[in-house]
Amino acid sequence: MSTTAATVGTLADEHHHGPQAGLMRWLFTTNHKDIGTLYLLFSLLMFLVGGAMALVVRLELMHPGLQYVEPQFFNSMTTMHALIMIFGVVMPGAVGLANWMIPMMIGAPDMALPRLNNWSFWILPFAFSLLLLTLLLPGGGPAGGWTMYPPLMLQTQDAFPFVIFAVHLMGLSSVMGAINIIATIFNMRAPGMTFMKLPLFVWTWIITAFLLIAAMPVLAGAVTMLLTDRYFGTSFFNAAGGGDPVLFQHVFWFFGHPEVYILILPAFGIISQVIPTFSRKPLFGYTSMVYATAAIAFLSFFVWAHHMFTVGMPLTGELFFMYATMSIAVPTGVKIFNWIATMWRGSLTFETPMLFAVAFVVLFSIGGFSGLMLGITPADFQYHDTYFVVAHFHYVLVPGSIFALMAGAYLWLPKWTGHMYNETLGKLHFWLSFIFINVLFFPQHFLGLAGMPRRIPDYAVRFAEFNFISSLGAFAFGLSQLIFVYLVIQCVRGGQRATDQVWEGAEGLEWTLPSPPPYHSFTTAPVVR
Amino acid sequence: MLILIGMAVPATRVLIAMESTGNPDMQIKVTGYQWKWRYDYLDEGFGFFSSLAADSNEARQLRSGISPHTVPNYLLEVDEPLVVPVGKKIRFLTTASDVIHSWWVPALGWKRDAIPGFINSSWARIDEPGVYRGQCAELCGRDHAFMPIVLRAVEEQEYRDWVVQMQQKQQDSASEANQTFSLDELMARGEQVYTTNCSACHQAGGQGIPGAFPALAGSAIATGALQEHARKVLYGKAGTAMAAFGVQLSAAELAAVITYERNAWGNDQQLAEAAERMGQPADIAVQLAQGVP
Repeated sequence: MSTTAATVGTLADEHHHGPQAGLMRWLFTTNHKDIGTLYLLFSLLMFLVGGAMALVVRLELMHPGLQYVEPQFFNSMTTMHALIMIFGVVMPGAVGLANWMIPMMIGAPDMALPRLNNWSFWILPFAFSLLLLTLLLPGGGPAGGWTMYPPLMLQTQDAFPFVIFAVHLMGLSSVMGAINIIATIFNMRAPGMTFMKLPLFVWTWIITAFLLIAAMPVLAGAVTMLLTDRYFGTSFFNAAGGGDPVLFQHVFWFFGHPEVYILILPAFGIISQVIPTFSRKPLFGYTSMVYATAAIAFLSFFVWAHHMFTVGMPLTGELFFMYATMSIAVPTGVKIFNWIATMWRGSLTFETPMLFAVAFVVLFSIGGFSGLMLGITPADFQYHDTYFVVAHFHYVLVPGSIFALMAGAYLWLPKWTGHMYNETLGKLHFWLSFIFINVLFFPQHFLGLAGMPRRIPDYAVRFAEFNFISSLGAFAFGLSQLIFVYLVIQCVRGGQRATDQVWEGAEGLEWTLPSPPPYHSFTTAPVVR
Repeated sequence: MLILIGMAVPATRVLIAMESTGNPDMQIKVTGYQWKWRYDYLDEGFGFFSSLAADSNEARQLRSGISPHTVPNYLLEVDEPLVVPVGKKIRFLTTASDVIHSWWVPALGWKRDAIPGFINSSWARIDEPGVYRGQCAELCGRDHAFMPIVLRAVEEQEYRDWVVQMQQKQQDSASEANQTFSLDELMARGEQVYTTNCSACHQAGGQGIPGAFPALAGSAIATGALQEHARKVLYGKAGTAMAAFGVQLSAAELAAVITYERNAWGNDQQLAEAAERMGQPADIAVQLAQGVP
């Protein structure tokens, strides 16, 4: 993709359009960069909160026996950890990057719907306050798992309606964010920026946004049915009233599987920006990457029941969902192949973003392969609901989505702040994260295969050793993340000045703007040839 | 692609075999409860509950001070194991009474969800005699980790003897319903029943867990009218983890546990009349026969 030098010469006229001063700037902002920053900071804050909950879980699991917390509180920790990490960290993190980068990548001054943008962010602090405050209610927070399966979820005490309402708010926020992203990309591209010239991060976000619009209302429907079952005497999920508890699982996972791709597709997009930059080569197989992403998104609507093979489906249903699940390995394989082919014979350098990206490709593939193992129905009868599943989805979500968000943050921090981050600290952060994420999650594969169920606060002594290793990894990984917090603060406050292009191999409109970029990215549309 | 097909073909073959639950030699109905299992031998006409063994139950309480390493088969031992003959095709019919559970013995190579209101079937044929252990695999609330499965596979003859023994036990327990017990007898029995069935939530000292599970020590129910108290135990409380124990325990066990709750932790001091202190199996049977109030 070749671009002209951007028309940013009129910057001097811009200062009277600058931000308001003080708190009001953040409350009422309609600026894509401010809102992007808010999303990213919120995501980082929730990462620490959700991480602290994970450490409570790992602390209790360090040794057999119950040493620290009641089983009910333990269950609410696992439940909240999942809800916070999914809806409070990975999704807002990806939306934050989209807010910052999409207008700059497509040559637009801002997002298409700036006020909607403000609203979709400011719903989130309320939603998560509501969710977190349920911990103080009689009966404690939600403890039925983030999947909220009835009838267990219906036993939740006073927290019940608050959790449902919080989930509704999170869904509302994501759907509005998605609408905004689609409207921006479809309407505000610079002249000459055709769809097949869009950076891959933008492409993955188009597809993610459509997934969000299709999937989130399904979740809203499912939790609303829970609400009416509890308070208005309906029996959607109560067999005694003619309903079916498994119906909830079908509806939930019809949302839940596309949700998995909502969490990972933006990550694919980030990795597809990072690898070409540090390989100093264009992305290998751009077109096939776009089609593979679309294929994954399409297939994601036909595989939901692989999350529930053990509920007792008819044989033909089990076979269909097994074959459909296995077929997803094809487009995913295309992507992995293209990333490796991009690196092949490139002039590679390993700055922190590239380290995270390479780790992503390797560790995500481990998660992908364990996913394939889980997709084989007869094998899943054994692996289902064990620590093997826990290891699988953490491998795709932590060294997958989270590492990609980290890679994106390191790639773009110099652009956002105008300062280079501390490369030594960045590399230290990477290596500690990389080592301890494996110490944390790899032993969990063995635990699952040895027969340890998931979501238990206490276990038979035969599982003690691997749990101990896993907990050590958890604490070391958690503490390593504080390096990142320190590094971000340091980078915002000062440091070596970043050039406009920042990275030698960086290509694209966003790198033609100064670092940091002007408040309204492109006031005159650049022309893309 | 070829690799995927190479994986799909044997997977399909195995799956078809696993789902062929027809023509069993015997059937066992497995019912999940919060938090124990019930096994009904449909062809032999008896059934029983299988709960976490007492020593594990004691050691697994928060800060119990008992090292799990000193407890044999910690969390993987039950009071009454499931016994099956070797070399027979057994059909397991799984269901649940309250929330979804999942019955899983890893050595059998599968797990199957136990869903309230629905019955799933799966099968196994065990060739090697021995003890096989497993756990509930679907999150089912507070004590999800504490409802293990122990399956003892024995030779045909030993199995036959065991069945006769269990049928006898079932008859004995039915005849208990007409006996009258002393307060001490009821208290001793009641404490056992309480430890197995109630202490997970209401706690050994009857203090409950504030906010989550109500206290029984000094509670209005345990020190109020006997019949009201019995009603709660027999029919449970809808929408909470308080199960209907009327269908789970025998009349004698119910009478014992209710009596225990009314006399333990100083509750007897608060009862207005001595007659309200204890219930007998016959009273419980009468109340059960009246049906849901």
